[in-house]
Amino acid sequence: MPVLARRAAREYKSIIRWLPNEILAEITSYSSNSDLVALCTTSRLFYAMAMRVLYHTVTLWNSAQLDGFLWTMAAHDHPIAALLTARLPDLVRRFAIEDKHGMLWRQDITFQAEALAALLSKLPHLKSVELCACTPDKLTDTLLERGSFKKLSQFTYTARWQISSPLVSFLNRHSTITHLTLYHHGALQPSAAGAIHLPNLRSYRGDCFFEATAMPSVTYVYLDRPGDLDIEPTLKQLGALAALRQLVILFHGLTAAGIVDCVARNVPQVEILISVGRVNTPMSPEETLEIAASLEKFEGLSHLHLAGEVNDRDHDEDLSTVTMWGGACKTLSSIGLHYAFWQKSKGNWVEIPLSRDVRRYR
Amino acid sequence: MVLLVTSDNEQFQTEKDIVERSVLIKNMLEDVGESDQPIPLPNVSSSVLKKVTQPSTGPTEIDVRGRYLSTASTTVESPSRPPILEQSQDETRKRTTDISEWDQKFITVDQEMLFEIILAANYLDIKSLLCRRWLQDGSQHDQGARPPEEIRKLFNIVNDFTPEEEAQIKKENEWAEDR
Repeated sequence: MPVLARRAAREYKSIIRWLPNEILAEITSYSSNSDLVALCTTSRLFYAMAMRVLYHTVTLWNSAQLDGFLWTMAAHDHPIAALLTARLPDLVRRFAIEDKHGMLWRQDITFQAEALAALLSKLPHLKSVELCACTPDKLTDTLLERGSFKKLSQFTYTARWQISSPLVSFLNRHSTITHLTLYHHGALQPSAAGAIHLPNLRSYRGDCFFEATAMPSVTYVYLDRPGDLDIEPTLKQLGALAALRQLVILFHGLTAAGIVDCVARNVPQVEILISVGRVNTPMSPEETLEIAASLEKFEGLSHLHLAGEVNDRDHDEDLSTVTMWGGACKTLSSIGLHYAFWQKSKGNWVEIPLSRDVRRYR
Repeated sequence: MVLLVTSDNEQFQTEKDIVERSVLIKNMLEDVGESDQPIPLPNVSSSVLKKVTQPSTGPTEIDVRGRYLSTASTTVESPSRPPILEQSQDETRKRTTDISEWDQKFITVDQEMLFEIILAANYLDIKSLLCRRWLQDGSQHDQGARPPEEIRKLFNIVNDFTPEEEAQIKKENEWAEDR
């Protein structure tokens, strides 16, 4: 069946005249910023299309860029702008500061910082903000103090030094946040931030955790290499989260058995546990027994994935291990062990061939 | 194996793993379950389908900035396996170039065929293939932006801006240039 558009192709000999706009837009969305900037200047059609992608995500990493961005957002009222059928501020969905090398730092940034905070607060569709500062930073502090983003749902904050106090009040002003990522590299005591209250937060990722009662809706927590040597107090906090279903722990201070034990005692309500601990491969028989004992304490664990290394594991030995674990925790339906995945099927455990998705997860 | 029937009534026996890269076919297979019934593809001709199902390995995940994030391989070994799969994950830049060389062989076709492939990839919902051609060209300009004039030539785009308008657009987007 010939596609209607083909006739147009013969007539015009140009894809732009016959490829549907949504396909051009799809292709455009995979372009780098440099390509998008170039695409904008090729023709009016591409200007309208590429500008939408270019301003969807705004990332700043040096002060010249900051000046340029502020200038453009203020000056964008020339005749070509009418091609967009939307104002530039309407296009921005995501804003990020990526100051990994201190390129945004300068003495006299106060004016720009305030202008940026005011500008961002006026963006009607801004949903995601990421702030990555490498030094105690006037710019990010000003954004935290002055910023007020009505539709903010995702917020990421990474600080190499101390987390400044504006962060706590910023979070408390934005109850719309559903996804929070927070890396402080050991500079913030969770207890010091106990006043954070995020009623709608569903997903948290970071290297510490706060008072759980202030985040009642959290269903997913990813503890990423917590700085503390003892993760027990953190897991105790997580235990108070009634809605928590999925827990991912990346922690090299304990073996897999140590983590499963700690989680079983403190967060028995989780249904999915993915853990990367200190690797002992292949797992010793003592360790598998310890894990079996811990598994009995879970209330409804369905997935247990313990990352390890690919090695010359013994298939039959692993089968008896997962069968033992399945016996200890009747709700288990999926187990990851030694980078092999097992599923319970009609009462028996069978190893499943790895799909591409699982390989990617590895 | 899955049986596909193209618009010109040719039948293709294809491995499930390969055809499931098409979201459309994957959904169809899930809907009908295990079945020997052929899957009709009324918008795809046999010559295009051959091209679309040909690369059994290749990059599948691409980030918003158009760079390959990972090189998930399928379980199917292919003689045309590109060298990229043997490389470390860190060499993103280098990999893009290598993909280009491999892609060159795969997708060196005339313009009309190329665009039929783009349409088919869109219909079948194969994202990686849809943007492959675009990225392939982009990789040749690793050191800097691709000049607008070159993009116009590649896609037969007619410049409908005055030089002043072009300069103005360039200036307003200066802040966004890549590092």
